[in-house]
This record gives sequence, C-alpha cells and structure tokens, in this order.
Amino acid sequence: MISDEQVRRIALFFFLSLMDEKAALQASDKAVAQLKSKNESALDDQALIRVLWQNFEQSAKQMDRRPARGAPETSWASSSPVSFRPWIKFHQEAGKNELVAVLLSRVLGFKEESIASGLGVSLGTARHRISKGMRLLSAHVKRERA
Amino acid sequence: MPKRRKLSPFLCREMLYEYEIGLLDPERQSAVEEFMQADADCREELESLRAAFGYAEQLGQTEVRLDIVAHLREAENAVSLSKKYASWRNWPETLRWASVALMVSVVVAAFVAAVPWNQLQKFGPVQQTTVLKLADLTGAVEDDSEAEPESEVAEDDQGSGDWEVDAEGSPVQVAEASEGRSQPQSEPDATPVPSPTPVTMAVAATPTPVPTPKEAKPKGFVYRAFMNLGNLEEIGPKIAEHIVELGGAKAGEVELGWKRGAGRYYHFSLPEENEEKLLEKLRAYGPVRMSKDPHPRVMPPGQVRFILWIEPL
Repeated sequence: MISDEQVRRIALFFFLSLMDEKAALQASDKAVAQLKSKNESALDDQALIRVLWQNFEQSAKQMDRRPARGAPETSWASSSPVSFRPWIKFHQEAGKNELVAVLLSRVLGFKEESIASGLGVSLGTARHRISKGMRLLSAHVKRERA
Repeated sequence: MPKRRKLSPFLCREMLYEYEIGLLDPERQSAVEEFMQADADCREELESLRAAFGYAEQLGQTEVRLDIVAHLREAENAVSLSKKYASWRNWPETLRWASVALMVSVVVAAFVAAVPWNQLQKFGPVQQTTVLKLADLTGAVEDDSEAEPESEVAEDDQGSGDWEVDAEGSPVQVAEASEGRSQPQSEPDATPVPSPTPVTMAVAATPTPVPTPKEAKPKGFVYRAFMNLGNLEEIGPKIAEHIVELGGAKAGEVELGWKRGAGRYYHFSLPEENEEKLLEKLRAYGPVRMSKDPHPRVMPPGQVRFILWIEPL
C-alpha cells in the first residue's frame, strides 16, 4: 500500500524534475500504478527510486521530442516556503544525472546508498553527482539571494 | 613527521560537499579548514553550499495540491487492477451482482440446452387417440370351441418356436389348414384375411368412446406348452391319443397333431380336472415348458384351452 507521503514525494519528484505539469502528472500516474502492482514487501526506497528513474527517463525522452515548452509550470504546488527561481535555473542548466541526484538526496531526503542502488551506480558516482549538482544549485541560490 | 598535503583551490572546492556532510577523514578535514582560512572564495563557496542545502531542504517541503495527490492515489494499471480485484471481496457491489446474474444465466442456459425436451413426452400422460371401432368381436364368450381356430393357428405360424408372439389386436394370417393336407409346405401357406379382433378403420363414423384399459383387458386365458422331442412320427399320434383319452377335443379347424414343417401343432380344449394328468403324460416323453397367457376368449366353466407345439430335437 502506498502512503500519502509516498504519493506526495512521487509527485514532487516529477514536477521538479520535468517542470511540466501534464508530463509530470502522466509520469506520476504511471509510477504510482507500477508501485501498486508490486509486492508490498518490495516497496522500499530502492524500488521506489528505480521506478522514479525509469519513468523520468521515458518522460524526458518524450519531452525532448516535443517542441520547446514555455515557462516552467509551478501551479501544481499549493504552497512552497521558497522561490522556484533558483531551481528553475538549476533545472535548465544541470545535466539529468545531477538534477535527479540532487533532487533525490537533498530535496526528497533519500539516503545516498539507496540512491546509488536505485540508479544502478556506485556510491562514489552518486556522491559525485550530488556534489556537482549542489555546487551548481548553490550558485543559483547565491544569485537569488544577491 | 609526514609532510601534510597542500590543497589547491580546485581540490578544496571539490571536497566542500563531503566536508559539509562530514564524510572527510580528519586529516583532509583539517586541511580543508586550513585552506579556507586563507582563501575567502572557498569560504564564500562553502556558505553558498550551505544555503543550497537549506534551499533544497525547504524545497522538499513544498506541498502538492490535494486534488493531484487524490488523483494519483487512484492511479491504476492492468496489473494493479488485477491485483486489486483478485479477491471476490474487493469487487464492487455492482460487479459482484452482475457476476452472480451471469453465472445463473449460464447455468440455466446449460440446463435448457442439455435436457432432451422432445423425449420428455414419454414421461408425461399418454395422449389418447380417437379410435373408430366398427365391430368388437373380442369380448365374445367362447361357447363353441369349433368356431375359432384361425388366430391361434396363425399365432403359431408366425414363426415356429416363437411362443410369446401374441397376435392380439393385430392383423393375422390364417393358415389354410385342411384335413387333407398332411404335409404342409415349409413356408406357411397362409392367406391374409381380416382379423376377427377389433377392426379399426380410418373412416368417417360416429366416434365411439375409447375403451379404457380395464374394459379391454381379457378375462380368459390359454395354456401354451412347448416341447422338443425326437421321433415325432411315432410320438406325435400317441400324444393326440392321450389328449382324446383325457376328454380333449380339438379347437379350431386343424386336427390334433397337425404337421407344420417338422413340428406338430395341437390346439384343443380339455376338462380342467384332467389338466394335470395330461401334463404327466407329456412329461413322460420329455420336459414341458408351460405358460398361462391371458386371452380374450373365455372358456366355459370346467374347460381349459391348450396350445401345444412340439418341435423335433
């Protein structure tokens, strides 16, 4: 059984990683359905990250084939304690590996070990992606504050 | 004392993330701290990194619209749906009742298809057909045994040895037996004549009430006996003599011991008290198979009627 908190994290992942409400909703739908069809015992962080990563890659490919989209959409959020601007800049400049690594570790709070296992990479690789992504994000946060 | 490695700005920036989350070993950690004391850019970068940590943590607290969360909770695919409805109890009420109705319909359809409806009439009440009866001769009491032989002769002529054939109610063939015919042909020389039994014709007539089975039931009887004997040429006449000695008289038109094929035919009436005596005499020649069959003809009191058929061994 998927909890409301898990559903919220899934939605947040796709909204922040795709920045497209329609594509994020479709990907979230698909991911939730896939997770429902899995055994409850197999529904750990690694399985969840694996499903999120697979659906993100599929959606990102589809979005690449589509015409350039307009302004990033944030209407899916009912409330946010911070501005989305640094993230939007970060989303536009970061590679998908760094984007997902930062999103999973520092935004959604997954452990680095789970992320490495879920993405199928070594712990060092996962940590490097996070580090690289966080330095890029920090630059945009710094600019926002300035 | 080992020489301490000196960090470059690039290395320091590369290690800032691990420094911040506390993954560096103590030596590296102190090296980074020493370098940052002398490098303002690196210190500023660490501050920015810490701000990014805080920003990302706050970004993670963003609330997604409730309608979207509610929509996503209902998301299903084929596998999750089949898993959800694998148990009967999880089925929606309408689906459960529809399934029950479908199953009942299938059972009823299978029953209707399996039952042989056209054969069920056999188990129902017998349909009575209207029979127009022009004449009924079966109820007549036999007061003259000489008056009837044909049907009985015909019965036995239907096939030698077939004793249970009953020609009641069916068209009969009458054997043209005569005193002068000592050696009838092997095939019965019979001429079909109308039966004295009820004559039914599909002609326009005033319908008569259909007789109930009780009314048509014969009240009389006839003894039918059958024997297999050798040397019939010698024994046959003796049996006829025994019958006559015991007060028997031929019934019908053929003589006692009439030859038909290789067999002998005896149709006679006999005083009832001599019935056992005759059987004793017959048994002296060989085994006798007897049956007492119902017959529409009623004999006078004290008289019984026999039909004896003897075939050669």
